[in-house]
Amino acid sequence: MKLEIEHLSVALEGRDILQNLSLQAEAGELLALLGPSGCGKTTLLKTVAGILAPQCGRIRLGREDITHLPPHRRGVVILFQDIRLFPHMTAAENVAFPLRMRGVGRRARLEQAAKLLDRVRLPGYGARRVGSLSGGERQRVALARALAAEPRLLLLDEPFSALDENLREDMRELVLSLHREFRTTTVLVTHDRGEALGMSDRVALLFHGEIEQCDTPEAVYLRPATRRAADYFGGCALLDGEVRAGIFRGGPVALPVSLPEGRYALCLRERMWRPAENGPYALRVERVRFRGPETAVTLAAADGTLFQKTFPGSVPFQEGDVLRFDLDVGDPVFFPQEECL
Amino acid sequence: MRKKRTAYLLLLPLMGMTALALLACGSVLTQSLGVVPAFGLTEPTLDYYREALADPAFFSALGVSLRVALLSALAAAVLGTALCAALVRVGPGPMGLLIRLPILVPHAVTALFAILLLSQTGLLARWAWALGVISEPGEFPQLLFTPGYGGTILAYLWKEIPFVAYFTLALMAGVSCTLGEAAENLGASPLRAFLTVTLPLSLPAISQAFLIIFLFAFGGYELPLLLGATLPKALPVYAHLAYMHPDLRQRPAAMALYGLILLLSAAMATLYGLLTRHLLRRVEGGQ
Amino acid sequence: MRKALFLRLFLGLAAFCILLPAALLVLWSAAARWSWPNLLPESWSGRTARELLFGAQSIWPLLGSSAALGGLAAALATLIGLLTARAAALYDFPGKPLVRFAGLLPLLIPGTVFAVGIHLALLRLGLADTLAGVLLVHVMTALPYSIAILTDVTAALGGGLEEQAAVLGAGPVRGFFAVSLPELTPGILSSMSMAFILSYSQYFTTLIVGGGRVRTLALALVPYIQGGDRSLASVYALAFTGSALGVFALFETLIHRWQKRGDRP
Repeated sequence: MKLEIEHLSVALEGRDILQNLSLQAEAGELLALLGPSGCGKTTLLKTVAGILAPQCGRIRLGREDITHLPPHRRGVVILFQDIRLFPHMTAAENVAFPLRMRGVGRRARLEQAAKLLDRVRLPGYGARRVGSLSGGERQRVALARALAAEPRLLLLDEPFSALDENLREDMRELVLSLHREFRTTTVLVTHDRGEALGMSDRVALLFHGEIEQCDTPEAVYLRPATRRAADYFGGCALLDGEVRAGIFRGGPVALPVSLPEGRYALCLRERMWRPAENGPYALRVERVRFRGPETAVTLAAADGTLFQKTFPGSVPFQEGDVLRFDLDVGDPVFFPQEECL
Repeated sequence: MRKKRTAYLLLLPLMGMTALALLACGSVLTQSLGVVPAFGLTEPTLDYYREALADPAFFSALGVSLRVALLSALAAAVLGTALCAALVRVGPGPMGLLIRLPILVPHAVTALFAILLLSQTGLLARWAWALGVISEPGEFPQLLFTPGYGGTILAYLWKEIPFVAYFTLALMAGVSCTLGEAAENLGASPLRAFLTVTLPLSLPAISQAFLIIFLFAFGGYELPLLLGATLPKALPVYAHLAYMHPDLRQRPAAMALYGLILLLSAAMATLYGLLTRHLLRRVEGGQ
Repeated sequence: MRKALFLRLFLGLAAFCILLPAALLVLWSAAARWSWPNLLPESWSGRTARELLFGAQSIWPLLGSSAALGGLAAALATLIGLLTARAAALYDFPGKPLVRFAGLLPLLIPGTVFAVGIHLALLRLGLADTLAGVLLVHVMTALPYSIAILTDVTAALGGGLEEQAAVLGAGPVRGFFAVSLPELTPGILSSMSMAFILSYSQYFTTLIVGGGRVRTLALALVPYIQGGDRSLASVYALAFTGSALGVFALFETLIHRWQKRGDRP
């Protein structure tokens, strides 16, 4: 079901956490909400779920305005970061809990719970006590429990952060396959850039309580809307410079552009530098750091500007050598300079 | 590695205190068996217990103490839990401080409160008169100094309801803001979330608070002394009367009564532990 | 938040029930005449206050002995509590579960039996009917609470800071005073506050173990309550409760100040 958040503002203990935030998730979509810790991701989830009340703004699910509904009537389920299984119930009773709240009889709900436990690849775990489950198993029980509620909207709050790295990949695949199967509109909160890019249909970037950009993973990564967004994803260097008479000049770089005059920053990715025998750019090797599968090299232009570039394997040159490069910026991304002030 | 010897040295004062406490219980039990060398009594005997158990006054005193302890502890557990739940839901605020007041007020002062408030010329009776419910003090129900021990129970409640709330608050608040929240998120109304998740998981604290206040009221002296009837007396008051008997050879009889209070408390605590163990293991097992 | 209205009313009622007797105590202690069925005293007087401050049994010596006893009991219970807490929280040794039981023991024994039994035990030690004996029994009564509070804070702090201090060259005693003690101060203060209040309110133990020779405010109060003069009983109860709450508030303020001091960068 489609989620629409309009002009939402939330304050906690007198501090503004979210300001005038608008965001949409299409029906059946998996939207990643990405941002550094403390940017208001969890606050946004809790507000959508009705645990926190907004100062102003509206939240709509499908055609219904749910801004003032109590949490238990929203049909919005959070998979909490700290899992929150009920310790006095078995795994099956936990999964059956939302059905029990809806008045489903004991036999029927336990049958349904067993089916859902199969779905999350925990067959026969129904009678197990929560205390006897491992971290990954608990996470999967919680996932089954959230699905049992048949949510109109599923909110995943950093669901993989408590898991070991090897379990994390399994869980991601499980969540993706369940999403393909149930097509529940899902918001995945994470601070892991790779996870957000790899799992979602669209990525919403949240900084300091405001949405910075919301687009497909490719667009968000390759065409960051703001300098902050570019900085957050990394993998690019921002080269400050100036456009005058249709030419951008910054450091050693000069490019013909069609921009009004003014100060700009050019987003330079390391793959744009191509080693070439007779390339126009002569860069001196400042530092070589061998890292096993790759070697990180710092290059300096004549004016002292530094660039990073990684080469596969080891490199045949040393610190002090001068190499020649071509620069292929393709469709370049510029940020007006005022913005970063 | 920290040394074991240091640990035992640190524990020396506690061991001294514990030895003294055990010696205290031992002395009561020895004398209750009629062994008081100072009075020339050296033969252990159960006669004093037999005498105590043959006296109907003992059983009426036991009845009073059990009644007061059970009624006050049960009501305090229920109302204290409700108070705690309200504090968790609304947020503690100034009330979180205020509930500590009755815990700090000593029992003797609580007894005075009961006299000023509940006696037939107390404030409640005056309010009843002002509202036209009664026309003279004698019509107000007699709560103090009566065999029903109503005033004693109410005085205990004034102290114990806040105690239960205070004792349970930290655990219940912790459960409520994580698992209670999760239950509501999964479709439980606030009341059902409380009944199915928060309350069962708060039971360990509530149950412990119940045992503490039950045993305290069972062995308590001041409130039944100051608010209770002349007859029947509460067990500790009855025992103290025997203890104060001018004839020192009556001492073993008094000690038998104290011995009975001690043994009954221990037996009830053990029984309670056995009864609640299954319940609590289920709740605590997963944590 | 209209739905919380019912709960707020319930909390308001509870607050009223807690405060009503306290207000009643103040009214009675200043009332000269308050006859049935008046809702407020007809006339006021300073008679009871004069009696309390300058009368035959004025409050000052009682206040002095109660406060001295409470202060000493608080200091001793906290000291023993600290030692026990260190052993229980930072060391591993055979018989450790017994420490928990030993700490709780005075709570598990019914108060009246405890008092009579301790009196018998102290008779053998020659401490019965003395101030030292009463102090000892007050310390024992407060000890379970002190141990519980201090074990919590000691365990929460752990031994890490002292290990760090030791690595940096501080001896064990120096390490404790320089590093752990400041962190434990709020716990120490709340243990002292608790122990003081408990000692201050002891009635039956003081009565039995003191054998009538040790006079405290709590002991003096009971005959007034048993007597018929409600105003006089109220004024003594007010002085008693007020001084106890005053000490409690003082400790709370100290704890608050200390914690705020730590928060400052």
